[in-house]
Amino acid sequence: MDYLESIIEKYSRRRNFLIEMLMDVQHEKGYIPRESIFYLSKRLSVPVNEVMRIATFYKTFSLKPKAEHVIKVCSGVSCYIRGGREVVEKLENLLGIKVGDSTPDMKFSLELSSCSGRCASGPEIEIDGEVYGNVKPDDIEGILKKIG
Amino acid sequence: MQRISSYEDFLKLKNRVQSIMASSERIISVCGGGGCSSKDGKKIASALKDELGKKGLEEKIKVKLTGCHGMCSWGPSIIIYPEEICYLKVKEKDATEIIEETILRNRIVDRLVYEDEKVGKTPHLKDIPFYNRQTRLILGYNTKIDPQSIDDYIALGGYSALVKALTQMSPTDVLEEIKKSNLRGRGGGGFPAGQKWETTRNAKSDIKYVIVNGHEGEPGAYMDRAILGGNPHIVLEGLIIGAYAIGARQGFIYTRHDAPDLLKNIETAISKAREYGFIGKNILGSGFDFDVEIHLDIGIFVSGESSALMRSIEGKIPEPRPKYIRTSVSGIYEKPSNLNNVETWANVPLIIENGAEWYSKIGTERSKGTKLISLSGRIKNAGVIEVPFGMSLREIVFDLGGGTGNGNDLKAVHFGSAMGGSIPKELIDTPLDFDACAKLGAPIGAGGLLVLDEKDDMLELVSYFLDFLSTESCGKCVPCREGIRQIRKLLKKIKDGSGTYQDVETIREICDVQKEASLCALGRTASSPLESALKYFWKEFESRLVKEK
Amino acid sequence: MSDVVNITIDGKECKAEKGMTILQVALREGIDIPTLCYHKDLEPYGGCRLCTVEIESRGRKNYVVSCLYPVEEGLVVKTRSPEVEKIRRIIVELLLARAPGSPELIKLKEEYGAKEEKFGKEPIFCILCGLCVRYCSEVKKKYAISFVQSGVKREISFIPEIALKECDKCKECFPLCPTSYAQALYLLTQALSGGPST
Repeated sequence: MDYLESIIEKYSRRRNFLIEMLMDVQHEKGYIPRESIFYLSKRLSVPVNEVMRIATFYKTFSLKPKAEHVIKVCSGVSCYIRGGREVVEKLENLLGIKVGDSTPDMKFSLELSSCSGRCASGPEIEIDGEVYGNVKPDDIEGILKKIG
Repeated sequence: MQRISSYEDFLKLKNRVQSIMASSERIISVCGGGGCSSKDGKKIASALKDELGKKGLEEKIKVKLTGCHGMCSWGPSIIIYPEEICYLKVKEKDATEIIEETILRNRIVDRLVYEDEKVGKTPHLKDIPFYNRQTRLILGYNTKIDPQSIDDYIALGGYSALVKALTQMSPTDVLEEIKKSNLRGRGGGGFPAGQKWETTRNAKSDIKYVIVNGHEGEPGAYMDRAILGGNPHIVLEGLIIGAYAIGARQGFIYTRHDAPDLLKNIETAISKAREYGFIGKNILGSGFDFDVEIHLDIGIFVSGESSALMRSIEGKIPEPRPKYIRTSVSGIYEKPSNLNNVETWANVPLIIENGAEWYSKIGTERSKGTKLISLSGRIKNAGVIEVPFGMSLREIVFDLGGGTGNGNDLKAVHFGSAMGGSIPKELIDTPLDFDACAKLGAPIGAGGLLVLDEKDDMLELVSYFLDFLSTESCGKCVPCREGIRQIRKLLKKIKDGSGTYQDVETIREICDVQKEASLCALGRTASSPLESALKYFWKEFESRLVKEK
Repeated sequence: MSDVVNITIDGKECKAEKGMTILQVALREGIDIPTLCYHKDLEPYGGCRLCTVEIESRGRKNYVVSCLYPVEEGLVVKTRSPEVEKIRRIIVELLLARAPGSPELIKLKEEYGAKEEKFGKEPIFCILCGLCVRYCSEVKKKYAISFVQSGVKREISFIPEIALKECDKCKECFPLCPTSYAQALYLLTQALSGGPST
């Protein structure tokens, strides 16, 4: 639980940074381990069901480990009308999973992200921090192959 | 850095940083904004620096990686000062040619220049319609300063308003000036900022808070990111001035978690402002203390709602508060809390520096100043613009935006995202104005303008917004949660061709209940896009309904 | 006597103390306002919106939830205007799709002329009134049940690590549930965690 202690210390043990602490847990571990919810609850004196509620409230947080590569599709409206929906469908078909899930081999997770503000180059997907703009459904296979 | 503790100190500092800035023969400003994939901006800036280094010009010619220039679909862009030569869609490998040709030989690199049918090839900012129709009071800084440099901002007049407010004006003077300017909130409602400030100022409490709402959760809205990322100091300066007028000693900046550069720029701005003594104890020797803390949205639309945002700052679940008391009286920790949007705060230094009278000459009778708009959807020149209120939507879409850019005719423009509405092309001469747009059922909201062309399907658009709200709302109250669930089902039925007139009536009933009985503004306006589509694009619904016998 | 305000509910003049809500005054006066998420020992929640009433204050008509709206001098309240009836009817219809057969909802359905299957059936049996979650947290301070997720995916969930230790000896939330879902979910939680810990 050393990583949790250093996260708690980073915010001087202040409970009003609980959401930021959970974000750091998510970054550090790639998901929010169940025991971290109980740990934060105890150390910050916040009821467990409140921490649980926050940890499940945001699409950014996940209680399950994510796959090796996380594919985020911008869910903004401009991307959507410019073909983002077809991009999501193509990804779901190719990976055989729905948004929010990971492939059984834990290679890819598929997620939607909030509007990135890069509307000028939508539809957009982001894989492991790398941004791909003006993506067409036909580009996806090539992009996935490149990743692994 | 020294702490600035008087008016005289500040003048000395300002003179010094201005002469540093003037010592560069030329400045090459490279867009590092989020809109045109900032990593390219970084690469281009370092390639330009390398080239200048090879020529031994790095002292005379400065390269600045700036915030968003605005013309996102033409990015990355660079602007060369003082000539204001604008190069678009620049690549890293163009650096050598730019330095060799433009910097050394004063020649234009033709292939990097803006071009359209009307104006032909136009290298200069002042001739490009996208730029020359704007009034860039706030965004103007973006192309000229390094967002990490407080000195850049000061050299261009930054923090002068704060110094003026704290050394020459009383808190009441500041408040009166803001009231007189008729500044209206840029976050959505268009509520008079001065009136809101006054409520918090007059509320009985020793502790008061001021908050910057940089949540910007509306899909298609990205102008606040352009300000906060390009010039965080203007927002910070506005916030400190506001805190002084209101009597708050603690401020919060609430912003997005998913833009690392943005966060870094805000953090740097706060620490630089603290070093100069614009934040901290006894600011500018006035006896006024103020500090700022950053909090993050982790990615849900509902946390942009003011009471939800405030709970999130307390570290609690961002659900809107159901109580009937304004946050300006009882907000964070039940203390009076004044929340304004990023753009609203950015207007404050301009008003204090130039006066309410100057400010109220810009705009329309009831909507003063400029408005930042982010253009997205079917538009040639997608990006961020700043125009005076009163400009017609036609001018925005066609003259600045360049039209749909895909050969299709315009169908409508949509303001305010999931809480807004559409304006059909027949009404495109409507002026940009809080009240005129709201009257048509398309409140400006934060300023995201989505352009739709003739091929776009209004039912698809409306379904998108309801899908969005179905996951981005809190789900606490029945009219919003269950209403959205059932409207989505009925809309799908209509899209599939099996919907009836009765289904439309049922949808309208649910919309009425959402408007009247939902807990927060999100629920009360969840039906707005749908109602506006039913009003202006009824045919698209009707043609899909089962014909009654 | 500045702490006493005069309000009118359905034409009846009532005296109330400052700080009371419309619902509290109505309950005291024997005026019926339906609720699903109100409980006298819990903080008002304002989730079901069934207790919406029409008010007139400073010349303006408005709809507010009576469990939270504080009384003020001269307030005029109508608990059963046609618009209020419509709001309640639709709320009941929306909830019946989620919890068909709930006796409380059936009673309300009859009173407000709601249609049983206006929105079909998509049963989950929880109407998210939150009585169980809030009672467990506010009164019992055990925090064994949580709201999870957001938007249309919102639901309640027992936290097995606490529930398996605490709930068997309490179960006070079961009778509060308007649909018996809390009890069913608890049994499911037990079963999934390897049966009762006895």
